[in-house]
Amino acid sequence: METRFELGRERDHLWTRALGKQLRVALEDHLANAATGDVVVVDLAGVQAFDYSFANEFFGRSVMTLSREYPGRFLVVEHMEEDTREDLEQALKSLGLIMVAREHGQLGLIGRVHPVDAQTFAAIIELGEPATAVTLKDRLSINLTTMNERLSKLTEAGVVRRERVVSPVGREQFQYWRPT
Amino acid sequence: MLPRRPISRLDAVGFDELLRRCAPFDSRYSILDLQDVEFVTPAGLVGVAALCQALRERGRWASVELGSTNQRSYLVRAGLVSVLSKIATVRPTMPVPQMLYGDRRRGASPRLVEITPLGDLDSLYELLERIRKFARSELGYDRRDATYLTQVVSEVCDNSLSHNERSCGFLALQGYGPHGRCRVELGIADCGGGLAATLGRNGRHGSVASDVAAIHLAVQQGISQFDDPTRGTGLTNLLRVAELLRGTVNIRSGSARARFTCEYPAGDYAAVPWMAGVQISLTLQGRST
Repeated sequence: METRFELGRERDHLWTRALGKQLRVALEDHLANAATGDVVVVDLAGVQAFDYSFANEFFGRSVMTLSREYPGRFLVVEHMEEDTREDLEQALKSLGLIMVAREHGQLGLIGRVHPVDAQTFAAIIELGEPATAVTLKDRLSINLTTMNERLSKLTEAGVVRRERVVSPVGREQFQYWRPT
Repeated sequence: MLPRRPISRLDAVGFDELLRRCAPFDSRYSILDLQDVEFVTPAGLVGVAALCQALRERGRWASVELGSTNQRSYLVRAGLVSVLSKIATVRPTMPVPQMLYGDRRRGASPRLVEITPLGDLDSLYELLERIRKFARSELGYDRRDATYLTQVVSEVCDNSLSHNERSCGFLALQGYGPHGRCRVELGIADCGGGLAATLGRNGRHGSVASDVAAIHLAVQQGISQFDDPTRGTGLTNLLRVAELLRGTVNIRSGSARARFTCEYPAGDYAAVPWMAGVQISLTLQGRST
């Protein structure tokens, strides 16, 4: 299920850390009410600008705590304009964070995105179904240890969800889910 | 001994000279002689305001000696005389309505955001919106540059409010030059603890050895008095935007000043007379619209 948090509902310019904190608390209500696998979309339609104090508090702190406090929920940002995209990317990079962005209907990563993170995430998206480390390592022609490391990083960042399942042959394994 | 040249320009450098000559923290009653000043920038406005506030908080009372009619007229319009009337003695004495004229005309001067005390975070939002609109309408900045300017103002003001136990800062902004290619100077000053003291509160930094070291540390990514991973980006972003817009940043704290330009991105450091708190000036060249 997908719910929408309209960041530009009341203001088109978002300044100060205090405002970021106020809106982050409201966002956390959405996350708290979401179930595992649900997507909360932060809709930036109508937002013309924000400052870095706001971005660090709202986006930075939300992304930082997502996988720990709301495991299995996805946070996706959408309807960025050129300027807000640039500033969000700058804010996330400065904090060493990544998050999922949906642009023109396509999911991708924004922030301090290492090329291997982008490659791995894209591969999960392309598969269109829950992926395993084995499937992905074959697809990307890398070894299993490296693939597991990549997937752990993306899971910890909250951009993919990991679920323990039993394979057809009865072995425990992890499946990796993308935001849908 | 050669006679000293009068202080005719009260900007960041002129403010240092004023401190050097007046030594306001060395005596109980300080005289700030502005009689020869012909040109005052926002750095000078907020510096003098913060200085008088700092003296007042230390049980000292400054007497500010103003100069020509033109100078006094500008300082009234810029709101400095009104601010000083509450924390210092202004000479020559002016009638109260004249001193407060700037308050009644607040927002009426083109190219000028009058000296404004930094209040709480709620009032900061309104101030930032005013600056953004000012940048668009009066300075002719495009939307992006207006946003950049507002962002850095927000960062620096937020720093001042967050890092000091009480509101003790001032802001002023002035545009110079033709519409669309306006040069802007922003001045923000407080009389709080200063960078060395505030950074020293974070045990991760240890005790900061000097004011020079404090400035050098403060402009690095992730350095804050708070042990909070989302903080410590304000001054870094200030310098980044200044470089992007070919601007100059002066950061003054305690007895050190650093000047950051495109030519010296690492900062050109100098020893200056001691002053409480942090004073920042930013000069930007607006890009043609």
